[in-house]
Amino acid sequence: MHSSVYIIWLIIILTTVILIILLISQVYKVKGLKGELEKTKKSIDEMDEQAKLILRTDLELNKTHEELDRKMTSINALQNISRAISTTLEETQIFKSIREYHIKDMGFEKALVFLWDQEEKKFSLNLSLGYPQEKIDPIINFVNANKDYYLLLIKREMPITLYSKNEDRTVKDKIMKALDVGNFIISPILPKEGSKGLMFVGTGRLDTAKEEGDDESIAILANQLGQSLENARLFEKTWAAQQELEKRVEERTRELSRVLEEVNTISKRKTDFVSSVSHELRTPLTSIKGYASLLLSGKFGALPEDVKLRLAKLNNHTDELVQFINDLLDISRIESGKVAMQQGRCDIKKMVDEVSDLLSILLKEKRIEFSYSIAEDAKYVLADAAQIKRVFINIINNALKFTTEQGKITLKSCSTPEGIQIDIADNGCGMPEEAQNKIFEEFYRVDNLINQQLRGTGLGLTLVKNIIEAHKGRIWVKSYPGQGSTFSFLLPPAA
Amino acid sequence: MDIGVGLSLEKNPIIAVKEALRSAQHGVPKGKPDLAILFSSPELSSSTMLKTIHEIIGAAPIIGSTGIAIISNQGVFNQGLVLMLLKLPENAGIHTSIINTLNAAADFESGKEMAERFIQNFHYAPRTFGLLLSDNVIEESSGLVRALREKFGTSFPLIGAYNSEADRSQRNYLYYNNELSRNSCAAMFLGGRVNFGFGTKHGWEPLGKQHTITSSRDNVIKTIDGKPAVKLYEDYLGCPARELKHGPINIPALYPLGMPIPGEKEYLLRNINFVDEDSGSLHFHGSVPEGGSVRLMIATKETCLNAAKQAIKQSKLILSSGLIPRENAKRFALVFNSLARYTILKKEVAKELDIIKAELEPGTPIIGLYSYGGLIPLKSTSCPGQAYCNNQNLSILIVGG
Repeated sequence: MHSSVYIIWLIIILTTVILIILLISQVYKVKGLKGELEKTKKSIDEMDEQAKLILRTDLELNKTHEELDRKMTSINALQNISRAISTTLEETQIFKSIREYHIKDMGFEKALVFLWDQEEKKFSLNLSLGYPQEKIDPIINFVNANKDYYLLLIKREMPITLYSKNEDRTVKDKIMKALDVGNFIISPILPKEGSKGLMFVGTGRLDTAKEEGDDESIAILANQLGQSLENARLFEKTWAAQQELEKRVEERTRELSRVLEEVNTISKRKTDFVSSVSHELRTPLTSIKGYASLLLSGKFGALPEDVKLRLAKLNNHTDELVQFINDLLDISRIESGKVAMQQGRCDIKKMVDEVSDLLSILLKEKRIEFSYSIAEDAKYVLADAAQIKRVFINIINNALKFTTEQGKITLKSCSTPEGIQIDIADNGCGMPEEAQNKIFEEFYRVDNLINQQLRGTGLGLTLVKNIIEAHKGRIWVKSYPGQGSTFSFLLPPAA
Repeated sequence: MDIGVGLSLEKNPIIAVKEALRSAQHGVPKGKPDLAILFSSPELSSSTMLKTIHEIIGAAPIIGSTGIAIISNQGVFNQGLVLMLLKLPENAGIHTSIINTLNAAADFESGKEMAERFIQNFHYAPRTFGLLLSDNVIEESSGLVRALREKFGTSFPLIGAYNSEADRSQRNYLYYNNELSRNSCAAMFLGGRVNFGFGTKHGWEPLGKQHTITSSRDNVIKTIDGKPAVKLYEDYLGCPARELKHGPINIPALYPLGMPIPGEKEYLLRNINFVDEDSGSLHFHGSVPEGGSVRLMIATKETCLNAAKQAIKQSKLILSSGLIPRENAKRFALVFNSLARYTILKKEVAKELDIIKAELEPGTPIIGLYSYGGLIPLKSTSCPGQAYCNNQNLSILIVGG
């Protein structure tokens, strides 16, 4: 009995000990789990802190990205507006080029542009975007009611914003109320030419925060507007001046045309007059010369010597007069186009030889050396040989006249891109520059000692000029007093 | 099925709709269309535009909505309109309806009436899906949705988009026949031998530990973990409450709250609509049940674009399991995208559209709009299951083929 009780007690004690041991081990286990739980909780909290860090970094990145995007869009919009307003030179068109989407891209919803009208002494509205029609008049009235303030803003040449520290808050509130905006920027428009103005931009949302750089962007836009207005006004001015100039040129051209027509008519009349007078004079002169020749021939009996002498003089003077009239007639015929040049292939050397033969006695008398050189590629001209010979005779004769004894006359031909150029040079007395411009005019004679001693008509070089020009050539002279003269002319080459 | 689509970027609504109609009519050469779906930017909304459509195409019903941006094969545009004309096959039909004044008390009854009208007038079987467009939030728990589910069954797919404006400056409208409507819900039910498939994904991933909504009512969370709800954002993002809605970036779109849904892999997103700075409570575009868990969500452009790929693949998978033979059948895609994605992807919204186009057969007409949120079943190729109100999803519905 005792032993069984003892065994039972032993079992109870053992069980209790085992239970205690198990309990202790469970307590330790729970403690361990609690530790694990704490660790897990700590890890979750740490991860949550990391999540916060990630979210904040992501938010900052998004903000930077957004700001960058906004700036890019704003710059693009600014560029687009600049392009649009710089492509026109008409003031009204400049404002029409700015569209609502441009302003929206710059981050604003509303825009107004006012220009100061100096004559009317008030601001006029030139651009309105984002406002319904019924709001326009009250806004214009508001701006003009406070025009002194806005003129001061133009004078200060600085943009103002809702955040400008120097501006009175009540003024800003009034602007916001009148323009129905929650945020605004006002920037002066300052063209160098003409009336200045102001640009207003704003957003309708009262909560819109100010973005950095907005005022600079609007100042750039206002500046660009100012420059475009300046260009348009300068263009307008230049265009008006040009129109005036064109009008004057047109009037003067008309006047000149009328005068030229008159000159041509007079010139034609003169040519006709000279031609008919010459004709009328030549007939009696031919008779005079005929009778003088007959008397001199002695067919009507011997004449006293002094009568003979006078008749010979009469005969000579008649010859001179006939030559003079012939020259006059030729000039007027060539001028009026009545004489057609019989153009053909002419050998320059042959013509020069014939002329030097003709003038050989005179050349010998004054012991003047005449030489010529004709380039290989300038041997032939397309010309009327008889007329060109007259040109050679006239010029060489003149050279003979103005070259002192033992002087030199040279003739040279060469090919130029303009044609065959012939230069006839002498080392005679030459002529002053003012005479060179007039030498080809009718009846002009250089005022020098030789001309005072020798007779001349002053028609020779005019005839020469007319002949050359009738060949579509041109003639000019270069001369140095005391050194000589060079007459040059161009003629078309013969193939 | 004949499908015609027209797009116009004209600013004048009448010129725009006429231009879009000219293109759309080419796709429906025989007879009058059975339906016109119209999406446009808000400034084009005009009842004259709707009358012009009726004058040209006849009495076919018009259903549609304005949105932040429109989607078409040619791209995403924040100004313009896109119009789709549909001529359904003989053994398919549609029924359209509208609830003109939405209010919580009467929605259930209105929904029931709408569903009954549909059942009475609609003889086509099977009933394929219902499309809901609204200018108010369409909650999965709303009376309207509950009534439709009660009448049509829980597996009847309801797909929709809504534009609740909150503090937005531009007003959105619904298009229904000749009328512009507000505070309304327009519905279109399609039935008959027409295949369809849908998919929806967002691309946001949870970050940070789970928190519990300790106090909420409808779409307002008052406290999370016993603290004012706004503290969660202040704590995680380190920004003051004011910056949530009025900061330089759209924080609610970038970091929505995610709610885990039993049996679903993706979280249901909730986007902040309003911040009550005094009480610290947050108002969302959708219901937020008390006791539920929430986590802050984060996404990148890559995860968003990847989600688009998954959504279109899911749509195609459901479409391919359709019962109707597919030979030579035409199809079209309706895309409902969200403002949040527009905010994140910005200029890359075109990439998202390219992803969708790449997965569709070349030339498949696509129209859609960007809205504040939508309604769509989150999954299942076998059973569409419950439709959830979502804020940041891309939902694609392919019909036909």
